[in-house]
Amino acid sequence: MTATTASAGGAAPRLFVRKTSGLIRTIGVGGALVFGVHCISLSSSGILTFYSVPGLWPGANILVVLTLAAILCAMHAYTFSQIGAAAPRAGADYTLASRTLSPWLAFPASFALVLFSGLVAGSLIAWIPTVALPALLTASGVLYNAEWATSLAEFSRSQAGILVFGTAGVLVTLVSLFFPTRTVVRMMGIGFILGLAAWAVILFAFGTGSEQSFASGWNQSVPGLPFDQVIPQAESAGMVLDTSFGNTAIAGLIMGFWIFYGYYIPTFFAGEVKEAPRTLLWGAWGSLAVTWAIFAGGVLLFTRFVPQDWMAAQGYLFINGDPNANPFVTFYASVLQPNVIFFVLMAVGFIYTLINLAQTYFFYASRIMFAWAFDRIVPEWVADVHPETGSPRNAVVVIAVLAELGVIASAFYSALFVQLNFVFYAAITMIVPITAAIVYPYVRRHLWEQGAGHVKSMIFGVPSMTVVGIGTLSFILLLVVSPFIWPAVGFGEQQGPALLIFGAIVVLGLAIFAVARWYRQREEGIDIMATFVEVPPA
Amino acid sequence: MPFLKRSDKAGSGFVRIIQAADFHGSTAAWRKFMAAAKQHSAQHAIVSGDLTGKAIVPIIRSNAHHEGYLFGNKVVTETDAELAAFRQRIENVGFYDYLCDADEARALEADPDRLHQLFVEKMNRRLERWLEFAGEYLQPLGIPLWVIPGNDDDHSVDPILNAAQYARNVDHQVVELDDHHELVSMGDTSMTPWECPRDYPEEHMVVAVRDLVEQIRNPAGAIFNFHCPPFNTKIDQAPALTPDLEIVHEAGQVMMTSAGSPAIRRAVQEVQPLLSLHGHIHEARGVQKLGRTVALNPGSEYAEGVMKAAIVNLEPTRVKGYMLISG
Repeated sequence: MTATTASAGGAAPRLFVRKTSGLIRTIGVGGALVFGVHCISLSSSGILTFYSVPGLWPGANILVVLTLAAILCAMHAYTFSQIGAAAPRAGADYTLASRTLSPWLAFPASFALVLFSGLVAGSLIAWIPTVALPALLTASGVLYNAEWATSLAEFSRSQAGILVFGTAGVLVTLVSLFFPTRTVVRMMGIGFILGLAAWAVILFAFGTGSEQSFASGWNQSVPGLPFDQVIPQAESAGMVLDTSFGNTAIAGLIMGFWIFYGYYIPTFFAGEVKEAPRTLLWGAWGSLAVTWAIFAGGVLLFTRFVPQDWMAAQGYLFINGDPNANPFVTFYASVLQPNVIFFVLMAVGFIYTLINLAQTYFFYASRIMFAWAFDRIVPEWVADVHPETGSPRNAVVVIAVLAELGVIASAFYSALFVQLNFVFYAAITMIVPITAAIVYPYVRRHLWEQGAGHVKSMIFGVPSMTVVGIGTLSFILLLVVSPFIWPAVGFGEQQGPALLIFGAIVVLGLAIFAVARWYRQREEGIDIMATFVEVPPA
Repeated sequence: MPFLKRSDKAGSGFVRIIQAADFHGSTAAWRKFMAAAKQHSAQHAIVSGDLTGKAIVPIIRSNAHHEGYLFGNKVVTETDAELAAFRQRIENVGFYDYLCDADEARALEADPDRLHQLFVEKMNRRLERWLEFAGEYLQPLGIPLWVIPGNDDDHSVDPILNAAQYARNVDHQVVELDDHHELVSMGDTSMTPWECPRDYPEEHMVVAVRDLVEQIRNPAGAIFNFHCPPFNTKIDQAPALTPDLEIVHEAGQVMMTSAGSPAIRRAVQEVQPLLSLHGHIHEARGVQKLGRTVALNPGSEYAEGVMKAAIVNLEPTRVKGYMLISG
């Protein structure tokens, strides 16, 4: 045995390390940050910032909304990094909750999250025919006088178009995940670069634009809704600008999850990171900071010459079905820089990264399903990986079916409707792991005491897991109740069916757990409850 | 924990085993493993290698206090009770402590031979304590303990394992667990980038595995207990490393590669034992079917003080059920 040491400068050594395997397995914070940014998505979150925030909260200050939302998400990220660090394995949230509270709570919550993650992956793919493609085609149609492009843009947005292009997108995502993991990861790496390139074009367009160039470009591109008529038309359609801080604050409280959702997704991969406390926390916070900077930078540059009220009017008109409304960041940039290379860069960047985002959802949902299979709640074949490619084919096929349902729901309602519901569903399912985090220092005290990094930190003598967890839970509860208080940001007219569906899924989750337990006991002599039971040292 | 419908009647050939690996010096994980054997009514406890820890934390004496670093965090202890708690924490995560002054620590750093000797003393002393405790705990329960070293275990542990009063070192041996099941064990592994004490070239693995397999009398009831998992399976996936031992990641994701043994995979596929138990790759917790053989790696989280193990219900010629536990 050869011994090696690690010391800090001329000071006494801090650790003597002998030569053994596996000592240098660490994903850097940088790696986690890149992955976090990827999960947040430069495309879908960019669309939300320029369209949903002003459209749903007319008069709200977008920069303040972004900042407030990022701060709330940072608190949520802190809690989830603690969850990942306390249970550093696949599906950390489910794992911690099932061991700390009960699998009867944790599994239905996790089951609902995976189901709705599959659905929302479909709704994100549906943004290709509803947003990314039409933005490219409409701009191209106007610039090159290509009627076919305009017609195709209209078809793309139609119910049939969403079904056709959306289904194609689901299939492309599914097939892409059949490739070796290494290839898929490279695809995602390319997507990260394309996403940044698209935003470089957008920021360049906004940075070099002026009110005059935008207004004239807009009037040429959208003759049916001239620049000067946008706000009056929205007001006549019922838009009321509310510039109060209360409106902005409420938007910020609610929008955080929509815009920045994804920063905490590395938690689901906690089993694959070392130094989990540091990596998960700084990866999440870093990705929040980077995406905040990009979106805020875009808003700052754009609002130099276009008032936020105008953006709100565009969003409002689009939400209310005005066919001339185009509240999309890529379209704005195309108006300012009518250049075919820029069009293609933005379109390819956004379409590609929307597929990438769906891949990410497929990925993390499959990891959670792995955790269920490890606990023998679902059949082992769910966690099977292809012997040559290593791809979790069975799990991704299941998610693809859910994604297709998401596409169909997007076609018959709207992509935004599906995502609004997802905020509710994702939030409500998070109540379970966050509650587990709050009580973890007390229920699993000896494990908490051995926790590393910020898991064991204290705030005024109380475990930070508990203190921050309570704050995070409050934030999440607000997201849960928000669709009831503000129907526009949730179910709209579909409150009853949406709740019924959620209830049915929870019941289904409970039934699956009960059947799995019964089957394992009867056929294998194994009680799966044993895997959730504490084993105190002898 | 009651298991309903358990077919473990005398004479039915039913046997329940508990298996774990990669304790790496974590006393918390070791003691939990003992408790789990009792809690789950196991009839055999099998340890698949890598018993010893990887690091020593120097605790520096300084006037009225002691200080040391654990996972990069400075810990200062003022009282004997605090010092004892710190030492226990170090032990629970699998490290060893060494009380010394700053000059002594620096001298140790400069003398690899002395440091090596200190490691040997620390590892062997803790292992002796573990084995003694295991005997006291498991013997009254009638649960035999079968142990092998792993690739990270220095050869100096062999005499300690061989001298154990209750546990039995079955490295490179085929032993009968009962009338139906033979345990085929080996701690050697394929080469790793770290060139650990029991890392061997594949040619060695081929011969070593063949020598063992030739001793099996009833392959249908055989249980492989190899520290190293079979090559190219779910249970041998480890992060890919650069020549500088840095992890390879792209787009923020770790690139994985197979780190198991082709010789062991071939043996599993040819012999088709009932069960194949492994460790070695801590991240690759899981189950893989290779033909009729159920191959298991319970994984390891020793550094968190978490015990991971596999519970397997066996009948004479089939794996009736299994479960991966942690606690």
